[in-house]
Amino acid sequence: MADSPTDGELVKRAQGGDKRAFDLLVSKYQHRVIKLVGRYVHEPADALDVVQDSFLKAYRALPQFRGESAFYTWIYRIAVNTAKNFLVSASRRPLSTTRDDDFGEPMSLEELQPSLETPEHLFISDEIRSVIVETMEGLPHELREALTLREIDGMSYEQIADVMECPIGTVRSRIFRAREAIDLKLKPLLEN
Amino acid sequence: MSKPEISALVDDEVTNSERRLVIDTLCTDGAARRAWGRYHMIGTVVRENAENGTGAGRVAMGLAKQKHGLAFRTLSLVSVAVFCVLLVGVWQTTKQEATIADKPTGGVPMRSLAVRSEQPLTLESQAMLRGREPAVAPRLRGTARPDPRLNEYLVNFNQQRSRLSAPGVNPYVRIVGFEPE
Repeated sequence: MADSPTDGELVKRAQGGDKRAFDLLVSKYQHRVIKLVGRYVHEPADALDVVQDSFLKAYRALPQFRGESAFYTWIYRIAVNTAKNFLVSASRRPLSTTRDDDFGEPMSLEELQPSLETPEHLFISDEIRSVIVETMEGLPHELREALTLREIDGMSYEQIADVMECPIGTVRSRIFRAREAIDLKLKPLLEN
Repeated sequence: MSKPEISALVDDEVTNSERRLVIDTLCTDGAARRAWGRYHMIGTVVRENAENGTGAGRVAMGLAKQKHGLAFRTLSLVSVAVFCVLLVGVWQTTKQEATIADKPTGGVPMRSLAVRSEQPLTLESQAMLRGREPAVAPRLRGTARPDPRLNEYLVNFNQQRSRLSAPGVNPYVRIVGFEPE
């Protein structure tokens, strides 16, 4: 599966040494990875450790990533292997076949950017969830529909424009306004 | 860098040149980077909410409410219709009874007698009324003394009638019993 152009650009920059580009990838995928890891490791603190380890391994292995698969597919595999290794270690059994040296040189956590410095933010609280859902439900119909078609149905702007019978620019504006309306309620919660 | 472009980048809906510019901004601007993170968080929650069925649940709840409202309205309409039918039925029955009762009965409608009469309507009481019922009286004129066996019949009939709470049913036996031979 080919990478998205944005992920490709971010990976390229991260491979070139731009840690902030990698940080953007972490911001993008961290919630999906924590959900994935949570299926294997049920203790939240342990799950966060596994997520951190996964991103560290990914960062270290980034020079070897050739973009043959999507970045998320790649990080998905790393996270699953890390979670399985954790479970094996926790049960004091022999380690699995995953080799840590596959992921390049060791790297300290401090070298990565703020996304990994506050792993507790990986968990989306119930309050945050309800604010997002309630704000979404209170949005004007055309904004809610545009965001739903994008986020849930995964449609492109062009497809949404067809469905909603409006120009692509309008779709772009509606999706932004929907996100902005939710973000307005979300921002104070995250800042606190 | 404006946030609409960050939003479009989140969806991969930017041109290549625009992409580079936005990523440059994201790499240097902390506020823009945080907005990027929040926009992705919004998407994650919206998708999870849909996956978990919460959204579907709400839709189902909304449909159930609508269904309940529809059922309630239907029930109300049916109730009103049934009530109207009953009302018309009662009105027609009353009208019919009134028509029967309004036939000349010597000033005392038969319906009134039936309602007033808590005791069984015996031949004695009918005989007592005879003088006040010119319409019925001619039919009785030929009978010097009614058959006493009808007394029991009339008593039973009136008891049954009150037990069955069927005040609208007239004691036909009275007519049959006094039919001139």
